[in-house]
Amino acid sequence: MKKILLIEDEPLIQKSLKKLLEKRGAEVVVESRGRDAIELIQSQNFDRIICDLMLQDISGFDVIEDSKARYSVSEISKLFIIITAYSSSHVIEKATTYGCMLISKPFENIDETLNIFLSEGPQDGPA
Amino acid sequence: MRGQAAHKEIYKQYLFKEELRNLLLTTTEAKDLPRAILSLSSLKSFESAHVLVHEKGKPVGQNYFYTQTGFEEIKLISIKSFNSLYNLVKKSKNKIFTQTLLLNDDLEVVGNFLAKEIDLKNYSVIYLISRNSFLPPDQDEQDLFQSLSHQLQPLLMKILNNEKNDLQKDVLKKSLDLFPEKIIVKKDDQILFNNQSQRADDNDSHLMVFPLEGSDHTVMELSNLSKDAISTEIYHSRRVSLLGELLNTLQHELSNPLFGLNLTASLLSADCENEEVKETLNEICHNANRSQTIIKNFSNLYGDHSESKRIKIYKFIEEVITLTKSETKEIQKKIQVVGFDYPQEIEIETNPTCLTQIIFNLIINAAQAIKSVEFDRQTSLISIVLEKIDGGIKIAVIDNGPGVKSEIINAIFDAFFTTKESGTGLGLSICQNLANQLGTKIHFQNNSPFPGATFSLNLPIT
Repeated sequence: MKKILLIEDEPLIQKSLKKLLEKRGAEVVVESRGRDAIELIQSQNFDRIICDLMLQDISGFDVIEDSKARYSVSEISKLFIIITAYSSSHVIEKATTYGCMLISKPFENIDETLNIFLSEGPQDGPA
Repeated sequence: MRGQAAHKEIYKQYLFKEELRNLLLTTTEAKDLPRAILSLSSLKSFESAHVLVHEKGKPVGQNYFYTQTGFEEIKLISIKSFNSLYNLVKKSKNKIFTQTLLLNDDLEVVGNFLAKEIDLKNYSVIYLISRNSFLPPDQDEQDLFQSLSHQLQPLLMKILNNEKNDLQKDVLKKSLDLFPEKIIVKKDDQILFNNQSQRADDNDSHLMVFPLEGSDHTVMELSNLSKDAISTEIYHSRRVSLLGELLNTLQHELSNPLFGLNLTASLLSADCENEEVKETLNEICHNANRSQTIIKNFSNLYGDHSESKRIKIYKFIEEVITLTKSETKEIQKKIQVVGFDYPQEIEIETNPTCLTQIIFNLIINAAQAIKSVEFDRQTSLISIVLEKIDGGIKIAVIDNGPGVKSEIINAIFDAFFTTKESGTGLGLSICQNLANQLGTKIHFQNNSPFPGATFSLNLPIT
C-alpha cells in the first residue's frame, strides 16, 4: 500500500483528495502547515509527497528545501509532486530546478492526476 | 507601618504614571512600543514583549517583538493567527495565558504571558508580555498590565495614524516622481519640488503655471500637455498593468477555494443516492467551474501582450461575450458564421490578450451606441460575424444602433475624440493600436441604408 503525505491548506481540497486517494487504496497522511510537514518528512517514510506551494506559514519550496536533509536531489525529484494554483513562469522555473513534477490547480483531469499521484515512487528504482 | 506601606504604594503608582507619561511622549513609532513596555520598571521581570497590529481589512498584520536581551524583530503575522489570538485574549477575564494555549508557533513566547486586546477604529491591536516562569504574574503586575491599555490606546491611535499618513505621503511623492511629464512646485521662484531634477534642464518656458490654492506665492508648473504629448499607450499600459495585477491576485486567491468546492461537490455527488441532492451537488460543481472560467477570462483580458497562442475563435468569442454581460444586458448577442463548415473548429494563431481587449471594447462600444438612443429591447442586436476570407478570417462586430454621423467618421480612431460625456476618447484609438500589434487594422463603416455600424478586422489563418 502506498503511503502518501498530502500537504495542502485548503480544507476542501485536502479532504477530497484524501478520500479520492484512499478510495484507490492509498494510505494518506494530511498536513496543512509546512513546518509540521517537515517534521513528518523527517520522522516517517512516504512513497509520495504531494505539496501545495502557498501554505499558511512557509512555502512548499521551503518544505522541499528542508527535505534535502534526508533525501538526495534525485530522490526529491521523484518523491515530490508540486500542486499549485499559482503557476507563473517564475514558479515553473523554480520547480524545474528541483526536477519535480508540477501540476496546476484546478486539475484538468482528476482521474489522470490521481494516477500520476499513485505512479512510481522513489523506492521503485534508481534515478 | 501601615501608613508607610500606603505611602510606598502611592509613590509606586506615582512612579508608574510618570513612566507612562514618559512613554507617551517619547514613543513615536509602533516598532518601539515593545521596548517601551518592557522598560517600565514594574514590568522589568518579563523577558519579551510583542505588539501585534492589524489594520482592519488588510490581509496581514504586523508583529513587533522585543526581548530584554536587546533582540528586536518585525514580522508579518497571518490574519488567521492574529484573529485566533485576538479572540482568545478577548474572551479571557484575567488575561493570563500559558504558552501551550498558542496553537501555532508564530509568536516566540516562553512560559506564561499576559495579553490584552485594544480595539481602535481602524486597527485591532494585541500587546503581550511573557516570562519563562512557573509562577503566574502576581496581582500587581496584572493590574498594571491591564491599566496600561488606557495609556496605550491614545498613543497607538496617534502613532498608527501618523504612520499611515507617512505612507500616504510616500505614495503621493512616488507618484509625482514617476509622473511622465514635468512637474515643478515653486514658492517665490524657489523650486520646492521637481520630479525630473536629474534630467538635463531643457526648456521650461512652455510649462503651464497653476497657483496652488490656499498658499501664497506657491505655484505648480506642469508641462503643457498637448493631445499628442501623452501617448495613449502610456495611459493604456498603466491601466492594464494595474488591473492585470489585481485580477491575477483575485484569480489565484479564488482558484483554490473554487477548486476545493468543485472537487468536494463532485466527490459527494458520486457517492450520493438521493437524486435531488445529487442534482444540487452537480449544480454546485458546475457553478464553481463556471466561476473559475470567468475569473480566468477576466485575467486574460489584462494578460501578457507578447505571447502568441492557437485559439478556437468561436469559443473565444463566446467567452468574450460573457465578459461584457453587465454592459450588454437587455441587448441580444449573436455569433454568425459565414463560409466555414465547422465553426467550432476554426483555429487562429494570435495574441489572445490583445484580441480579447479589441473585441471586448468593440462590443462595449456597440452596446453604448445602442443605449445612447431610445432602444427597443426586442430588436436591438449585436452580431459578431466570423467570415471566411482569402487566407484568413474577418471578424466583424455589428450593431443596429444609431451609427456614426458622417461628419465625425474620420475622427473616430483619434485619441481623445469622444462623443460620450464621460468617455476618455481612448477606446477606439487603443483598439487600433492593439490591432496594429496583431499586424492588422480595424475598419469602420455605417450599415446604411440600415441602422447601426460595423467594426471589423481581418486575421490570417495559418
